[in-house]
Amino acid sequence: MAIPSRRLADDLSGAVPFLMALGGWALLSNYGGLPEYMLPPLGQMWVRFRDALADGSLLRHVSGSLYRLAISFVLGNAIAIPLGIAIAMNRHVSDLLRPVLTFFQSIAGIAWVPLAVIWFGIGMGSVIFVITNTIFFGAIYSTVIGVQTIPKTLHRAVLCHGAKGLQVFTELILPGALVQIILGLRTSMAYGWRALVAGEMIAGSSGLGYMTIEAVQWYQTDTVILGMILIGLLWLMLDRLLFAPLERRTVARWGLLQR
Amino acid sequence: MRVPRPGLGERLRSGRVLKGAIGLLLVLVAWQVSVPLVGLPEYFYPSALAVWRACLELIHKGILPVYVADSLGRYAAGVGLGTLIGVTLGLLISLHRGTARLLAPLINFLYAIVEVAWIPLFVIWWGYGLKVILVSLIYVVAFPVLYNTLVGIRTVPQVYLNAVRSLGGSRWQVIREVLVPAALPNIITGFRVGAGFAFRGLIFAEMIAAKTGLGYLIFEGTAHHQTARTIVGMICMGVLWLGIDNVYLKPFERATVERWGTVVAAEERG
Amino acid sequence: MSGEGLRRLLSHRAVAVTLALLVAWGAFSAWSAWAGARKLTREELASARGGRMHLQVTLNFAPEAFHMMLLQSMGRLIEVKGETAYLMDVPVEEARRLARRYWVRDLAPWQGR
Repeated sequence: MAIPSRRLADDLSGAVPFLMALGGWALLSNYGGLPEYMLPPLGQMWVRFRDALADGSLLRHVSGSLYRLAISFVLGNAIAIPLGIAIAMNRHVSDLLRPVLTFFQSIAGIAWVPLAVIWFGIGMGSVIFVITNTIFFGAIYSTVIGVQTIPKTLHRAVLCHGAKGLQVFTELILPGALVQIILGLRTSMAYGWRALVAGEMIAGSSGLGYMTIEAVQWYQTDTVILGMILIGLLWLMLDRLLFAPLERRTVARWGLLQR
Repeated sequence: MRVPRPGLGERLRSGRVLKGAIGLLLVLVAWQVSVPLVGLPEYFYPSALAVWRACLELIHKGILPVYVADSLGRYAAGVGLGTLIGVTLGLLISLHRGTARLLAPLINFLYAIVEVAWIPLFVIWWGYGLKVILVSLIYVVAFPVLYNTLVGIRTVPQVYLNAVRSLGGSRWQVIREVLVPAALPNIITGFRVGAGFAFRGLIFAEMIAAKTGLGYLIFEGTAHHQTARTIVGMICMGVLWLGIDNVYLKPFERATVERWGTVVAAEERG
Repeated sequence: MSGEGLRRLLSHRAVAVTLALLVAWGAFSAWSAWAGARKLTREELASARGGRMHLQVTLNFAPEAFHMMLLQSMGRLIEVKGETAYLMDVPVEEARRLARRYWVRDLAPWQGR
């Protein structure tokens, strides 16, 4: 969801708004008369960043968050996609379960955090459960929709050519649903990322979300803002460097098969 | 092209609604049956009946209606204000050709900082309470709306703008007659994306910074070992979201976007 | 608005549902206002001094934290005995609004302490 910039001049000028923002920040914090807990000066931010990097805590939090995210993403999708395909292959089963899946998709993620704490206590278990839950329900929903919206004409055409059993699966179901599945990867990741940050804030014992909310108790606004910037950067990298190219190379290249 | 949707009567007759209802029923029965089989204490794994009793109790004591009303009120206010601010900012930024391109990287970056990450900062600034919740919601909605407004306006062919101007239209008229209608499909798609994230954001914000509301109910239930109440909150959240999405958001998008622009279903965008 | 236009407007799900909800809410408000007037009668309200009164609030259940918070926001919560809460210095308008709530069984003036 980016506003694309084209020429090199554009890319360079991309730094301008950030410089402006930093300039405004410096002015406000030094001359705006704001208390330190509202807007810490840039110098203090730099010191905090340097210290957190030096004592390894920053690396620990970032790697912890990414690790939890990766496990949950793989786990959630590995269970959901095959299960979703299995459910969607049978018309009756998918008709039975579709409203249930829709319902669970609408509450997936953050709403499960308190329950997760009861079941797994504070810490990694709860956070991984919540993220996996989010990704699972998102992926299963996309997968079922993906299989169900394979155009009937395509279905009939493949069957006409004498495809049976496994062939139907590899020639029709998998490629047909792949578009939705890949799109679903990106959107479930978006919700999963939010679930990660939120889960770490409420039920975590380490990670960027935890680091950010802990700092609130001590009014350490510099740590909070540091956490926010890192959360933003990480999401940008995940979305732009991982999912956008994936989507571009697959879905966009193939064109949207349905709709 | 208007794709006709099956009406309620047709869907009932096709048996899909019935099958869906049976599916829900099966899940409920499986849940209830699994409780004695699993044998865990009630605060750990409440039965469906326990949840139903808790729901009735919460209504009987007047707690649930108040919580639901509070949540919905915050949601409506946040989404309304967020949309207004997003569209206004989008129009303002688009007034000058270069501004959108200049600000784009900053906007992209700020939006990448998900709304849940802003809540600690807001809590430091404003403590706990309604303001934090509202501002978070406004943030969640304003950004996708702002984006899509900018994108929508950018894609308005220069021909249209020139046409209005050559006919002697003022800048205000250009905005009203050309830019806004052309960008409207995008704006509405952004609105639906924002509304979706806003609902989840609302629940989270209420868990952290509120004393009433569904999010608070979900949190409070586990704090007092009344897990059945937590599940009541979760179910209400799901029912409410399905209601909002299917009664208001989807039909609205269908009626406008399908009529005026390409059908880019916001379903894919989550 | 013409009949045809009105019917088309109502055919929209959002409009019909919103209208139904508004009607239901209106009916409920009317009923609770009527019930409220019975719980806290005009004679009982007359005991107010300077726009405030001491109130004895009886619920259908033992009050929880939620209700305590609500009652405390209305006046001084002195004591809670079983299903009854005792408040002092409650503004009359607040008392009337409390009477309208369906989960309140009865209100009565109280001489205070």
